[in-house]
Amino acid sequence: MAKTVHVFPSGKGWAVKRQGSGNTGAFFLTQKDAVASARFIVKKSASGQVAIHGRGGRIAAAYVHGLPKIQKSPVKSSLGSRNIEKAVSELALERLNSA
Amino acid sequence: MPTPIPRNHVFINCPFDHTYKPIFDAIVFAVHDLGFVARSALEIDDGSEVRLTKIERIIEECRYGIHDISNVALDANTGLPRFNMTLELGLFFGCKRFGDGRQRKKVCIILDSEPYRYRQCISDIFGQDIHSHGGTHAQAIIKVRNWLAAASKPKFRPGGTEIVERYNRFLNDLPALCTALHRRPDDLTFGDLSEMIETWLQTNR
Repeated sequence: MAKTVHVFPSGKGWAVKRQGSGNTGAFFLTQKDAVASARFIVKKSASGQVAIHGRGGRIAAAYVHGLPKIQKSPVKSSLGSRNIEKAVSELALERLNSA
Repeated sequence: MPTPIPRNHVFINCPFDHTYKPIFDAIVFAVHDLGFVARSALEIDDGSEVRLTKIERIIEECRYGIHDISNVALDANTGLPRFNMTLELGLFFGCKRFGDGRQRKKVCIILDSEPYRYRQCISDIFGQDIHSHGGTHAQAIIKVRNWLAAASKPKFRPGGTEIVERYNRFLNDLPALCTALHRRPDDLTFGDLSEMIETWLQTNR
C-alpha cells in the first residue's frame, strides 16, 4: 500500500485520501483538521508521510513517520521549484481523483 | 572553527555517458529516497572556477562516496581509457587519509560492472568495499542501499526492493512531468533531476 496520505483542496473544504486505497477518503472544512486526521492515519501505520497540496499547487511535507525525511539539495533546477511542485502535485491529484 | 561537513551528502563519482545514465539516475534516486543528498561533478555550472577545484570542493563537502569504475575501459573512438573516475576516487581516498578529523570520517563504496575486474586495472584498491552491479539499475540501487544503510546510523531506511519499485514508478511518471515542464527527459540537468526526485518522493512514497 502507498505510504503517502494526501491532504488536498476539495470543494469548499479539504479532502484526506491515501493513494490506491479505493475509498472516497474523508472531508474536512479546515486544512488544520484535515492535516490532523492525515497525521493520525499515518501514525497508526508502520511508516508513512503526509503531503499537503496547497491551492496554488504548492506541496508541503507535513509529517513523516518511520521513513527518512527527504532532504533538500543545494543544487537547484532551472525549471523552478514552484513549477516542479505544481507538475508533481497535479499528477498526484489526477491519480487520486481518478481512483 | 572549521565548517562542519554535512552528514548526509553523498558524492556520486560515475561515468556520465549515455549508456550509463539509467544506472546514474537510479543511484541519485536511491540516495534521495534514503534521506541523503546526491552530489556530483555534474552540478558544476560556474565557469569562473577551475573544474578540478570544484570537484575537490564537492568531495570535501561529502561524507559518503559512491565510485563506479565500470567505465575504466578503452574508448571505441579514441582507443584510450578515461581516468576521471579513478582520479576522483584517489582524491576521495586522499581526503580521508590526509584530511583533518572530519575528513577521516569519510566512507565509500566502489561499484563495478563485473566482480573482480578491478584486479586487472587498479589492483591497489584490493581490500576496499567493492561490489558488482552487473550493469543493471536494480542491482545498483540494492548495493547502494545496503551499503548506505550500514554505513550510516539506522533511521528507518527503506529496503532495496522497495526503492526499486518506487524508482520504476518514478520512471513511469517522468514523461508526464517532463511534458508539464516543457522539457525532454534527455535534456534534464542534474539539478532538474534531483529536484524532481525530491518533490516526487514527498508525494509518492
